Amino acid sequence: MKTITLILSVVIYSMIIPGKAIAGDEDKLKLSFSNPEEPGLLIIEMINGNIDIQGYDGKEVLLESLPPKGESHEHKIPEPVLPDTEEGDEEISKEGLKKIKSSSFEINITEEGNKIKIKPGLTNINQNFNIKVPYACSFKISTVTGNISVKNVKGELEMSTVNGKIDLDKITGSSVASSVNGIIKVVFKKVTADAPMAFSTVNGHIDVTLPAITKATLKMKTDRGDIYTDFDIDVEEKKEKSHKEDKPGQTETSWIKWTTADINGGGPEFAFKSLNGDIHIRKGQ
Amino acid sequence: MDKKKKIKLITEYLFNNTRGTDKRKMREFLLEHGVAEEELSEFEKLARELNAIPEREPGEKMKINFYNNLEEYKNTISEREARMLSFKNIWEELWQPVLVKRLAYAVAIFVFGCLAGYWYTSEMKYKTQVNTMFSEMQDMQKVMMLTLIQQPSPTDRLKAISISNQISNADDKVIDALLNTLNNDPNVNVRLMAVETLYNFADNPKVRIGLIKSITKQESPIVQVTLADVMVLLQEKSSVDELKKLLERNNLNESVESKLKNSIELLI
Repeated sequence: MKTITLILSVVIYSMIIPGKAIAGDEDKLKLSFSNPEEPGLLIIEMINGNIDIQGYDGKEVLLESLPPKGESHEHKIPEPVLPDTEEGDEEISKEGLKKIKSSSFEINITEEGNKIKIKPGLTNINQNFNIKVPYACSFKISTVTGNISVKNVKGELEMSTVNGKIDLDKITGSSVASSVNGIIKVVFKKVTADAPMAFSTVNGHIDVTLPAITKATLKMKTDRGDIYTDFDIDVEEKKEKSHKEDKPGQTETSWIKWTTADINGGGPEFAFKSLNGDIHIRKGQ
Repeated sequence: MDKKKKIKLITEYLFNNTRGTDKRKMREFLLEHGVAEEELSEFEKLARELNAIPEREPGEKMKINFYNNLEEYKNTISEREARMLSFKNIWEELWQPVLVKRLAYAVAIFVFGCLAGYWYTSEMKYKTQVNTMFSEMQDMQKVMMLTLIQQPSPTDRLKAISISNQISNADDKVIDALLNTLNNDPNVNVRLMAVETLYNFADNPKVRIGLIKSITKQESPIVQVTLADVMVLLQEKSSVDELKKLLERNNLNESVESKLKNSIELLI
């Protein structure tokens, strides 16, 4: 590790939500990487809330915070406009303005060594994010309840959620994703050669689309689900026998075998594991 | 004049073919050099007497002996010649077609032996080279694995784990790194793959103990389930207590709960 890892900026924002959700880029919070020429890493640690990320042609990360699901604007409008407890607001007239959300929320954003870390403060953990990132960007995103959606980026995508859905689309690079109850859906445009990947769920389905020319060794295992693929593969079922002789009447073989298969001659290991979910591996373009 | 020389000169004087003036001169010389006249006369007399003894003719018996000896000698000579002849025969026999074939076989076998020996030694060399290269590669893989497993990228850590699957003689360092990953890695999938890999090293008691101890340390349902699977596969009855402890947790996933119960049943 370089000793010159500069903490370039440690910012704690306490901000009011912008007036409209569909505000232009100028209303969004702009975050820059310390070295914008190199692909950065965006770390988001959420508890509740959805995260929607899209790659765009720019160097900065544009962060937009949206009210949580189910709290539509219409519900907010009839709320009486009450003066805030904040001081220094008296001179500013609030007439004709709609208050969209009554409380401010805290969000901690830090940048260190080309890594931006976004972490909502404890006062308000229920928040959705709409984020635009440079195309080349890696991610490390975790939520407990909330969906993660990433589109059109190039990098390493590390995703984990407990109850949410993970939806990765038009991805170039590699991914390591896990969910407990949610679905994992990934569509790769191109995969990094020699990069192993892994996807796991307990109750959700796994649905991964790989480019047709992908070289990989697929390792699949689901206890109570099924495995589907349209790749031409010689399925080699690896029956892992118990170290001792099987007990009579034991049904263990049905739930303790890996299915391994090489596609396009084999390559890095792509592991798919679920307990109750199905595994779909599709051949893309 | 010493005695030896004197006797030699006297013998020369008496029996050699020196005649006339030479003989006289010699006699004078001897007398001058301390040989007494009577002594010399005595020697002369003896010489005359000796010459007077008639030479003995070879007897019949002697003749026979001589011819016998001659015959014997001749025989030995012819035998030697005969032996030389037989050598010649052998040499000629060697060039008979059958023998040439045999000889060719012998030469071929000899050459083959030489080549085989050469090939074998070079093969051994090659083998040892391959062995050294293999062990060097294994060492390199170990170093790579130990480096990659500490990387922040989960892809690198997955790489490290898949490399450790290829290490045939995983030492304590590799095992410790994998166990550490199993218990402390922030990524669920990396921990999951660590379980699968450690299962391959389950013959090592350290690995078994590590896997059992890890059961209650896991928060991720899928890792909990995978560990339970591995315990059933290994028929590790000593893990039942740990599985039961896990089952007592309040926040346990429903699917995990049923799976754990199932596993404990299979183990007891």
